[in-house]
Amino acid sequence: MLNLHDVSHVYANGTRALDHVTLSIPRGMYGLLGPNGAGKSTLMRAIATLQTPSEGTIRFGEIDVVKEPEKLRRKLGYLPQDFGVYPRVSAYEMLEHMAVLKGVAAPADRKRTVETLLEQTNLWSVRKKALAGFSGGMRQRFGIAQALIGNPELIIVDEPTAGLDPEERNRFLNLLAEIGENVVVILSTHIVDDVKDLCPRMAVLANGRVQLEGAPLALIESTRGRIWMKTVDRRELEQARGRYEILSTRLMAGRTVVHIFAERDPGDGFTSVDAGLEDVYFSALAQLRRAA
Amino acid sequence: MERALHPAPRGRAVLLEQVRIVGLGLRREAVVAAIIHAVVTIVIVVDIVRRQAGTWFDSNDWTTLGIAASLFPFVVWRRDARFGPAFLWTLPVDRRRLALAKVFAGWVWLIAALAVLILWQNALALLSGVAYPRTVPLMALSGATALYLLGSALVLGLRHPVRWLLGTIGVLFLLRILNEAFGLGPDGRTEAFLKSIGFFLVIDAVETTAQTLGPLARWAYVTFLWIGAALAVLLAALSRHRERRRD
Repeated sequence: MLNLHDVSHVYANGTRALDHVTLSIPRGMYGLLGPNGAGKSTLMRAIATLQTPSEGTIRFGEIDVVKEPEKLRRKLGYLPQDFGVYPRVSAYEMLEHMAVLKGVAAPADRKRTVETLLEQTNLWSVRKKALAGFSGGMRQRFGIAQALIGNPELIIVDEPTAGLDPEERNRFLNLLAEIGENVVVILSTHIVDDVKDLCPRMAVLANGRVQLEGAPLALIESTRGRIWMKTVDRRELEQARGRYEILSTRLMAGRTVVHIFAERDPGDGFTSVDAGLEDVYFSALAQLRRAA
Repeated sequence: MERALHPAPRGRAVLLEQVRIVGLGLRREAVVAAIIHAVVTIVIVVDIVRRQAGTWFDSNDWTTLGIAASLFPFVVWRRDARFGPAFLWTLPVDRRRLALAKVFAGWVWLIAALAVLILWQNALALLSGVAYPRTVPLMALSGATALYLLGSALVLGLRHPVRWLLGTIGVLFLLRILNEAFGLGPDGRTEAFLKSIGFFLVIDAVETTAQTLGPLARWAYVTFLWIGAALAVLLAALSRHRERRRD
């Protein structure tokens, strides 16, 4: 279990990126949703021992991550948004390099590890190709392969599907689902569907704070009867913006489908709909804007 | 399922692996250098056949090699996030040790390339039949080592080493122009400043000691001082990369 208690981080320019974040993350997939600038990457970097939070504690089992980061690194797999090293080296060579740096000492073990991971991530056929020539999806699959070296117990995946086409995204998410059963996997993303498809537990982070936390199904249930829908034209949309708390707008056949949050039936042609995780997410953000 | 804590990688394994991966990353440059070499070899061989090879072996100046050695770290460290949170920091290897291993790896390939260059030049000099040919001396390897270490210190110690380098060259160039154009040279003041911090005392002491030694001992002594100073600067630069933790 990964426990974060009162974690805050203030950058040198005074930006408070994290504000008293407290979470308990059990084994399995855990989704961290939030808009750009919410503090997700700061939190991921703090957990991944890339930066020390200004306040608070992070514990992974018996390991105090802030005081003994080197111990966590021996159990950690991290998939960053960008590697930035050795683009002209092949996938096989790079995985071998990572395996050495992760302590897989014996050459036979290393060979077996690298070849197994290349097969598992469907990169065996391109193992001799330079990383610079990889597509976005291949690069992400390679990222997961290197994160899995050494059988980590904690895997951090930061915005993994950004820029991937639907087929690559699907392939990548299936891979994540396979590995997410016995280890702690934190999936940090602003794409709601990724969390909806994979994560039995999640949190919404915005303005550096945890706005919502729990099982997606339970969070969706908590908004039952409070999400309303109507199809409007442009003029009606402008009127609706002034009258209701609009969660989302979506175009369908040239008209706009509006979802709003209301405790009671707002009338005016709105119908009650079953909430989706997107509605839960947007209502959390709307609540934040209201409070601001 | 409880998993055993993976052992941290051994220092020797990291060192050898850095040599391997840095070498792999320099393949393209090696191919380009080999092609240039091949072309120059053909030209020299043609001149040897024509008995006009004398100009190829009339200097033992290694300034160009020295400049190349001091700039080589920029090639070794390109694309590396030297400052700020870097992906490699999530691996169970001390970041300073990893950086030092990479500096060593770059040095191995630099010296290998220079050794090949010197051997190549001497082999051609032998073939040329030129009497008393002058070629790059082996002692250039130690000079190149010191310059490479200083270049590495620059790359690892400064966030923007290219700006600092170009800025320094620009300032020195400007001062020289001012000196030549208006006689506003700071030379007199510079000399006074250096004297005040004991710079000349140190140089005098080194020169005095060196003059008491034979040629080989003198070379070893000066090499030891240069490389020692360069290593000290490098270690100071590496101190910027120590892990900072909150107590």
